[in-house]
Amino acid sequence: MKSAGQAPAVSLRELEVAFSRRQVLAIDALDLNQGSIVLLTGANGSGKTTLLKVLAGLVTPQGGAISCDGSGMSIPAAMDYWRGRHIYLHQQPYLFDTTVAANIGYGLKLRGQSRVQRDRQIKAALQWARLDHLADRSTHTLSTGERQRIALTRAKLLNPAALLVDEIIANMDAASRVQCHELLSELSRAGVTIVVASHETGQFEDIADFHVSLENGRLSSDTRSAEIIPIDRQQST
Amino acid sequence: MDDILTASAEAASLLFAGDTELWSIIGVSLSVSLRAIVYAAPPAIALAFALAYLRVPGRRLWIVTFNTLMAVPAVVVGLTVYLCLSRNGPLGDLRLLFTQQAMIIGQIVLCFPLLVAMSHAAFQSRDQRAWETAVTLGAGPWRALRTVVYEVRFGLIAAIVAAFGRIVAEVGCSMMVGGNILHHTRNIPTAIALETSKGAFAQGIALGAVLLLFALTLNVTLNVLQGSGEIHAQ
Repeated sequence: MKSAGQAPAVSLRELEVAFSRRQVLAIDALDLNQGSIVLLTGANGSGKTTLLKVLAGLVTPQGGAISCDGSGMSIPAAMDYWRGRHIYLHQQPYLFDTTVAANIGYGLKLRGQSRVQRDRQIKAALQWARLDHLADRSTHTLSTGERQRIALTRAKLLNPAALLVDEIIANMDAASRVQCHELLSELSRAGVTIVVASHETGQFEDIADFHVSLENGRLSSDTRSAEIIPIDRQQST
Repeated sequence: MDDILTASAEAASLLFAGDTELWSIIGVSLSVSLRAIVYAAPPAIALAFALAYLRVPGRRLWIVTFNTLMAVPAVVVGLTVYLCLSRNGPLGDLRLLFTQQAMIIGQIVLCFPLLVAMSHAAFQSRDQRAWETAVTLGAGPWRALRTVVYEVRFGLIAAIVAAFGRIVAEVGCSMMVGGNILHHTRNIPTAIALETSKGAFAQGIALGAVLLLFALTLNVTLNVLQGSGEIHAQ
């Protein structure tokens, strides 16, 4: 499902975000293709989380032009459009104070699915993520790695157009990381655009298609010239 | 010691014999305080949510103000409400003084800052992630609000219990704006104050026991809910 010649799923131009009059993000040009995995790197405070939250419709930019699948949109319209379609995963994902199964089914319930439909999909999703043994567990009793995989499964079940992952594997053990990589690759093959923020380049290079680097809220000089840099797998391995 | 024992025995017989005066006082107390909580809690919780999650102008000033108002004595609230509702006051035309409505207004003023401050603390105990997670999964603003309220439900219940405890036991405000009229505005605290001043301790002890029972019931309920975590609201 990697795009070739089709309009980018998301296109940002001259995007500006400021908090209390302090500019935290200024993106000249950034295109994200459907089904690609983009590695977003930068030091702490470089604007990675803000960019992901903009793409999720959680932070509204003060200025800029946005296109979705080639169609221009006003900023408020794009924010509305992305909420629920572009799913943001926190570095430490938030699970609601209920069972694992209820967490997984939260978005399905919002979309008006019946209990029978939800139960069937929840079961399948938990099996997909190899978490079916946790279905009835309270979220208080889970390890960090389990919480992250559950959040990923909860997002996957909603068939998002984009998944925006914020340093999710920072606290995972090696086995969970491998499984997380597999899950992300599978989602990408299904056409989900994935942006993974990390302060280290090494963690996702083996699955990422492109690399975007941020410095003080701006695309870094090497990234800006080509907007996004394809990762040469042969060179990096 | 004998006097206390005798009065306690009389109090028990008053309670169990279904003394109409006593039960009328209990009824007024419950009716007024429950209505005050029902009216005050939704806007107080909504305001607390706004202060915790939205960019409200003068947010810190609001929070400091509500924290300060928690410490205002009931009698000062009573005086303020009395002045507003008295014939020459700004709300004098409503002719509410010495009615249950006046007592409800007084108790709302009394519990509102406590509800806002404790609910705000409850919302702040959960970071932005609860709201952001609900929204990113597709919840609209109202649904996301419901989800966050569910997430902090125990803190909000504790706020409501504490606020109810404050108003059901206050005497100063109810005495001033209610007038302590039997079968009409005489509630448990004002009746205890009156009966004690007359040296009639039995009714005071009986009503005091009822107040204690209220407090015990509320706290046991809160404890049970927190312990089992079995409020299914999502």
